[in-house]
Order: sequence, then C-alpha cells, then structure tokens
Amino acid sequence: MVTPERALATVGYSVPEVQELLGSLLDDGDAYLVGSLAAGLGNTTSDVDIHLVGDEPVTGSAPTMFFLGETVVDVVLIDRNDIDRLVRALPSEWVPLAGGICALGPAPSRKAQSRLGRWCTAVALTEASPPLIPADAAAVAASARGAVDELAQALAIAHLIDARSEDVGVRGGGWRAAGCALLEVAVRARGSVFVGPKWLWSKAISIGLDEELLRRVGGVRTADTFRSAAAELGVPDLDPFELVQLRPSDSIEPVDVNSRPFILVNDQHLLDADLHVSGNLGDEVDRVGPDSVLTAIALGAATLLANDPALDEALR
Amino acid sequence: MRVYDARRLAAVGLDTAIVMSLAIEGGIEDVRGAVDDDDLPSAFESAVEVLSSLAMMRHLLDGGLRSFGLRRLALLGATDDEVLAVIAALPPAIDATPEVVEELLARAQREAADIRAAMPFDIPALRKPDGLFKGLRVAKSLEALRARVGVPPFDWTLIGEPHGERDPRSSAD
Repeated sequence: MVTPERALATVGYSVPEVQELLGSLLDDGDAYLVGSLAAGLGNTTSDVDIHLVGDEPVTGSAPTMFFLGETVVDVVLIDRNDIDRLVRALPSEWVPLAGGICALGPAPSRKAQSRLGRWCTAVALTEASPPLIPADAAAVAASARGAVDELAQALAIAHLIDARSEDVGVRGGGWRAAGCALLEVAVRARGSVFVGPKWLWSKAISIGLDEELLRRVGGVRTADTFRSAAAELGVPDLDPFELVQLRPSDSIEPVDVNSRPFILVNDQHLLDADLHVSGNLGDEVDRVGPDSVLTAIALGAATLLANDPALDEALR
Repeated sequence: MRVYDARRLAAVGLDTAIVMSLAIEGGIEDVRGAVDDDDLPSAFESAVEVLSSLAMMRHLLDGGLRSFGLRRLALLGATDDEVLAVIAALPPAIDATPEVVEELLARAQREAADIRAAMPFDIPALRKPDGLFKGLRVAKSLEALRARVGVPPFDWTLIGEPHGERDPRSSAD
C-alpha cells in the first residue's frame, strides 16, 4: 500500500515539507499525490506531482513548478467536474483480453488515459482517503482500450517500415516498438493502468508476468515473433491495414508552385500532392505505397486513428 | 567563426531546447535514478527512449519535426535511421545488465554533448532551480527571432502531447 509518507521518502522528503513549500496554495483544493511515486514506481530522481482538486473551473493543464532542493514539485489545479466527466465517460461494455479486460467503443484520448492512470493511483496528501477514481473494471477496460488503440497504430508503423526498408535492423526496431505496445496492452488489461512507457517492464514484473514470456516479448524483432508473442499473451491478430485510418492533419494546405500541386505542412515542408493521404490505411498504401504513407505520417501530414467499429469486431 | 541560418534557428531553436532539456537530459536522469534503484529494465527502457529522442533531434536540426512516440518511430523508419538497428540489436529489457545500460548512457551523453556544442546558445536545464528563468529568457529571445524572420509563433499547446502532435481523440475530452 502506497502512503504519501512512504512515497515522498523515496525522494528524501516528507509530507510536512511539501505542505510548507506549497503553503496557502493548498487552500485551493484537496491535495493528491499522483504520478510514478503515487503508483509505487518512482525512484530518487522522480518528480513530486500534486493535483489540487477544487470546485473552480480550470483553463489549461500546465503545471506550476516548485522545487524541494533539486526535486521538481509540479502542481496542477484540477476541476472536480473534470474527474466526474471522465468517470461518466467510462465504458459500460467490455470483452476479455490478454488475461484481463478491454472496453468496446472509442478509446479515451491520450490525455484522458494519462489522467485516468494518475487518478486511479492518486494518494491523498494529508488524510487517508480512496483514490480519486476507483481502479474498477470500467477504468481498467478503458485504459486497456487506449493501449489497444496504440497497438493498432504501432503495428501499422511496424508493417510500413517492414514493407519499405531493406535494412533488417531498421525493420527490427519497428517490431520492437510493436512488442512494447503489445505488452502495454497486457499490463493494462490486467489492471495496471498507470501510463508511462519507461515503467513498462516494472509494471509487467509487478503484476507477475512470467520472466520467460517477458524475454520473448522483449525479443520481438519480426512480424512472426510479434505474432507468437501476441498469441501467448492472448491478444488477437490485428490487421492494421483494415483497422487503422489516416486522417489528414489540420496543419496542411494545398499550394501550387508553377502549376505543380503540393501540400504545405506546418508552413514548413512541401510534399507532393499525392502524399495527401486520407481514409483506410490499406487503400492508401495500395495507392501511393508504404514509403509515401510513412513519410506523410513522419512529417505530420497525417495522423493515425483506429477504426473503432472494426477494432470492436476484431476484439469480440 | 560560425554562421547560422537564422530562419532555421528560429524554426527549431525552441524545439531543440525543450527536447534537449526535458526529453534527453531528463531521460538521462531517469536512467541514473533507475540504476540507483536497481531497476535495470526501467533504466534500459529510459536509455532506449533517450537514444530515440537524440536521433529525432538530429532530424529536427536538419529541419524536421519534433515528434515522440509513434510519429517519431515513423520518422526514424522513413529515413532508415541507424538508431532503430542499434535498438533492435539490444537484448530484451528483462536481460539488461549494468554494463549494457552504462554503454547506452555513455552513448547518449556523447551525442547530447555533440548537439549542445552545435547550438549557438546555451540550453538551460529547464527543470532545475537555476534553469527555469534562463529558459524563459531563451524562449523570449527565440520568439523575438521567429517574429523578426517571419516564422509563426511557437505552438506551446503541443508541449506535453505524448506524440508531439494533436491527439485526434482529444476533442472528446
């Protein structure tokens, strides 16, 4: 059980020291320790993350930074209504997946996933109280759906790299990333909802995943080794060419240079007009090839988005 | 004497300072913290993340785009960046040894020092007590340079986005 005293001791401080640092700011709401320390994952270099939960509307989510010695103390004001909204948006339908559960329906945004992970592991700074959101089935399922969404996109990129690169090492790097995304699905589906890629292996170990299995997942370097690891973890075969869509970025505009059409991305890069990719990933790869699609994603001309109904179908 | 491209510096200077301070030097601290905590898999994964950010940073300095997560993976894959092969040649994280982590850390520090040396201004440590206000000064002067050479203002709203891009699902929040 993580207590604020024990969590803060990891970075060499105490609850009264944090209270003294923040002073009257603590009058603005109920203070919760969140982040890796609250989730029981942090170490001596971790930041102290505080969420001050109050009843006033909050604009923006940028933290105010304080210091205890060299330790960063980030304070974020949170509108209690935002927590209620997140809870109300949690799914009511889920399916078994990877030894746990996963929601049907759209994934929460990345920000919502991060907040969910933080609020499910939040520890009240001064008095014993439950986390801001219970880490119940709905929260776990929503978090897992976020990880599945990410996995579908990681698989899309791994396949695109695989299709365009002649360098076996480069291709292996793409599949390694897909292997990490796969493990994140299993970890979250089994209830470890705190979000943070660097903690992936600590989380996997802490929920008791077998070391040999982790070795195989960590050794994913090809489509075949990925498929074996996915089958072992209980994740169905996901075809990103059917499950992922390309969405043109808001920051592109068509331009014409001496009668030749281009798209201008972020006022910075000029791309051939056929790199204006949109719609089903498989169709666009057939139309312009994997290299062009990957370039369009890399330069911000398009973003990936899972096709929610198709992904639901694959998960059922 | 060195000559810098003013428009390029205006375009990438803030990105470079932010990535160097938060993702790279912050990441190097994460590696050290995890090593001290005997958590080698987390140290290893943090080091992999730093090396990937350094590779992205080299593209950024060549006029690329700040990116993290999957967009960074797309960038490295689209350019056959050697860092992907370096990472693929590493053992599984669960088998990380202190020697492997130290080697990755040394490589990261070397590459970070090279990038720092190539910049025409000191990059402050934004998340250190003495770096915050220096960072604000750097930001102010680079915003002024952007305005002077016709580069649009820096999009601060993208800081903290996990992939360095607007999340298509965030409109539902």
